[in-house]
Amino acid sequence: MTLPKLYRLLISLGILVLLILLIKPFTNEGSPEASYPGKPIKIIVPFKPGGGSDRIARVLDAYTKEEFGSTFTFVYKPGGGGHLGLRFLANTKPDGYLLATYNTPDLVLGHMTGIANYEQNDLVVLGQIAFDANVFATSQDSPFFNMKEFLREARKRPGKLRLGISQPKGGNHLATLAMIDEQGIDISVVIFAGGTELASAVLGNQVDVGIGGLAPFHGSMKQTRFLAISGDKRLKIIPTIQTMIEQGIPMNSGTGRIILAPAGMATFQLERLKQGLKTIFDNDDFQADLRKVGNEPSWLSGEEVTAYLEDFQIKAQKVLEKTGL
Amino acid sequence: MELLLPGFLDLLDPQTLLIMALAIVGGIVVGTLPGLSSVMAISLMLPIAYAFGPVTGLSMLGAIYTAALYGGANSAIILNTPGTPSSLPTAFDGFPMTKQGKANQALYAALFASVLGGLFGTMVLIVAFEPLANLSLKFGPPEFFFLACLGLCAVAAISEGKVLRGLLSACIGLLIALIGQDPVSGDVRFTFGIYPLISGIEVIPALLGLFSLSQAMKILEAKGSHIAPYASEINLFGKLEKKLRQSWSILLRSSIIGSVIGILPGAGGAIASIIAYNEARRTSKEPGKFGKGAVEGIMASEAANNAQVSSSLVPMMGLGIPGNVNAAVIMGALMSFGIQPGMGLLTNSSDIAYAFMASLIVSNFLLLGIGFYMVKLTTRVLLIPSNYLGPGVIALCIVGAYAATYSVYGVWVMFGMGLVGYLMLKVGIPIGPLALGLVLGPIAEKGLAQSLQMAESESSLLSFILARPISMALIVFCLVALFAALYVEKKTQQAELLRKEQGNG
Amino acid sequence: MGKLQIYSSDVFIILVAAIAIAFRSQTAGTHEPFDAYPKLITGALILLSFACVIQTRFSEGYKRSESTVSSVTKSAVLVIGIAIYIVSLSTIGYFVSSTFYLIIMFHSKRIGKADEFLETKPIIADFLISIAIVLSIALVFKFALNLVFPDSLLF
Repeated sequence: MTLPKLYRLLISLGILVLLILLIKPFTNEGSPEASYPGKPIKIIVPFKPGGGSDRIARVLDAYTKEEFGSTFTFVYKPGGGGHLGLRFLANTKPDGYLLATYNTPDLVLGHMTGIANYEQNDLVVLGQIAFDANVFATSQDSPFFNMKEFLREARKRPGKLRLGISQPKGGNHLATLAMIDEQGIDISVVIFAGGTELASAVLGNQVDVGIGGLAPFHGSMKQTRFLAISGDKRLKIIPTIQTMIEQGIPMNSGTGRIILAPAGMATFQLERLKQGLKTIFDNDDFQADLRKVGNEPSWLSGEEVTAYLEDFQIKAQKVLEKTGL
Repeated sequence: MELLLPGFLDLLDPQTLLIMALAIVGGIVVGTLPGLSSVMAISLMLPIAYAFGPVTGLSMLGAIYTAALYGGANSAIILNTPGTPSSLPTAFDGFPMTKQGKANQALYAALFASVLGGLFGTMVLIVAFEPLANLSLKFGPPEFFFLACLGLCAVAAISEGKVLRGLLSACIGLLIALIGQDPVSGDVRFTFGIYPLISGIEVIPALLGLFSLSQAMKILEAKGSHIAPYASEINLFGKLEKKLRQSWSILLRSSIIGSVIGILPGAGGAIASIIAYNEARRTSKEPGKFGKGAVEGIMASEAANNAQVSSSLVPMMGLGIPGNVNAAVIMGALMSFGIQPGMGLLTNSSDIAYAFMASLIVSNFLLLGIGFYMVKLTTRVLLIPSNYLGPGVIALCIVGAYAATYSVYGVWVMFGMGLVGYLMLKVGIPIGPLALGLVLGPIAEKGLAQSLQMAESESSLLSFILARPISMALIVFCLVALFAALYVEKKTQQAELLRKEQGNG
Repeated sequence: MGKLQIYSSDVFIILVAAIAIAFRSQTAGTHEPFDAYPKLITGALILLSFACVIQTRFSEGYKRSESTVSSVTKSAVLVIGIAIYIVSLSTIGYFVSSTFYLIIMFHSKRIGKADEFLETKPIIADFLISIAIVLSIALVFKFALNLVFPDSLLF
């Protein structure tokens, strides 16, 4: 390389470095104002857009401007049943501007089944805002009218009936296997990849009965027949349907929708978020909006959720060992 | 039908039309840029849609969806990169046409085919969404498995004559699709200890790398100053109009295929365009020209994927079960307006439902007009010298892969697949079938695993399948497609031999 | 002797077969019926690899000219360059690394031409075009679509 060329190279590099140094101070992502949050908070939805978690987060988003001053910025990170996105959250610096939405009890199930690859203690639950009960559903062509009848038939014809499950290794998968084991029936289990797939399968008679969340059936209530609610409380939307417990079958499973934050955030930030979340929850319009997207508003504080999960973990451990999931 | 008229009148508001026009422009851009998907754009526009109210908001989202599915054709044709997976087959004939200097023809053909397919699909939606929604439920896991197989039968069509290597390539794609969490059992597999692989090799960054990155690398190595000649064709529209009229059966068939596959929840646009492409080749009088620049291939692919747009809304509107992620997000928008999709839609909110469906028709016409002018912009890309275009495309791919997966892992996936694609190009193994395997693999696997689970309750797997008429029909289609492919291969080889003899004689 | 020559395609295909075998060994732990499909695919892949290698022996069309050493090094440099760019994207930042990458790529094309390489006008031209591309990509992704670039040292 000739000398003038070398000079030009060095000068060009020098100018570039200078430019970088000059521009650098202006590139900070807007410093937050005095009161937290002050700038938009990013929320991770660890699933594909359009799903149940996404819809709930969007309902929440409609109220965040009023409460926190700005709307959420959505970040979609599907994978690993949601645990990939949570792992990202767990490994980020807890600067108070990144949250995630997820579900119980899948939050702890992921660790117990080995799918999650981060420390459980790296995440903190801010609170639960909705609860989606699990229901047993069939199409209107079905000969069954409640789960007792179904189980009776299953005993008569072992292995001949099909039960669909909406998600592998999720809360209702575990609870269903436990129930099958406890009732001592032999039934063919078919696993689907999500509540929407299960709803199609149930309505299309691909399975004799399916268990999943209620939300995917919202658009086809007239063609769906519900056999039971997996839990101890009846649902307002389908008031005549009995619960499993009422039918004498002990089973209680459902999906709680929670908001998570990375552990290690400043206390004042955590408190502000928790308080803000509760305020939004107490808003009647918010609850109405939640119902519009097929979820039932149900509040649990972060501590209550953690306590429930600890309890769940103990029970679930036994079931996992038995079923070998 | 009479209900449609008030729907159209609702839309005549100039603000709505303007917003839809802007949405079309945005949608085309999103579809064109590799890595950006219609889902991202629709999700992003959700808050704005709420602000505008149900009719305008939903029309805007529908317009983005329609335009984005067309937009994918642009990058498929000019850069050999499908902007969306549904435009995959468009690249097979689109890029060769660009190399032959016929990019204009290809782009306009894609536009017209998209609009025609979109209008067809929308008519199907309007006329029959309730009965069709119920029909879509009859497709269960076995049917999806055989549908994926039917898609895979297209391998022969895109193997550039090397069928055995094409099959190998498709198998590689199927193998790669295995990585990650099993969609049915939830087990984590083939990650070899690398945790981010749990989400598998995602389609969008993989396609970006496989086609775009490898293509960019080839561009940089090539001697030419531009990727392809930029030529204005004389009497372009005359020729094109003639072609369109001659190909009416292809357009019709592809639109039907797109509409049928679109109503199946979970099938997706890629299967529709792949099967339509294969069918067009199978029924063509000159199957050998497919893959070398046959405009019929583009028309088949684009008509199908735009017909699929409206029909993916069928199960969503009829049963509240979204046909794909786009429909799911739009369903979310519907629900937040207080409209319950499903059985109650026509009784409770028929005015908004019909206005939305009418807006899809308007969107297609807007697409025709706006797309027409944007084609001129798109072809200008060919004027950029390769020295600048190559690295520019690489940078775009990288950002696109990041945007599609919100993580640098996605960029590495793109990089890895780019390497694989580049090596395969060097070594002489067609890369199209790999993309096919990657896209169709998960559907095939889910179908097989769930079918086997279902068959446990039957006396045997065979009796289980034999009792399902749709599965049997699909198996027949597969066999027909396979035999047709073999027949086409034989004929092409004979024609080649003949040509060689004539050349020597 | 023509039949025993090893081509680059053979190397690639055998590599593929090896990977398929590695995958297959991993399916050992899965329970039915989830092992059916992976076994099917890996099995098919191994069979097809053999078939392709055998086919290469007998047909004319598959034997391609082998690349020269210099073209291989050029490709390798290209690939490594992209990898470095990706790494710097998340460590140094989008704007800086993209600008540098593009400028280097544009300018390296001029290396053979003494009247263009490291001359003032071409340097400025490449710089401006690079900035233009970086900014327009950023405009679409960051500002219109709210994409969040990874946290990094610079910007």
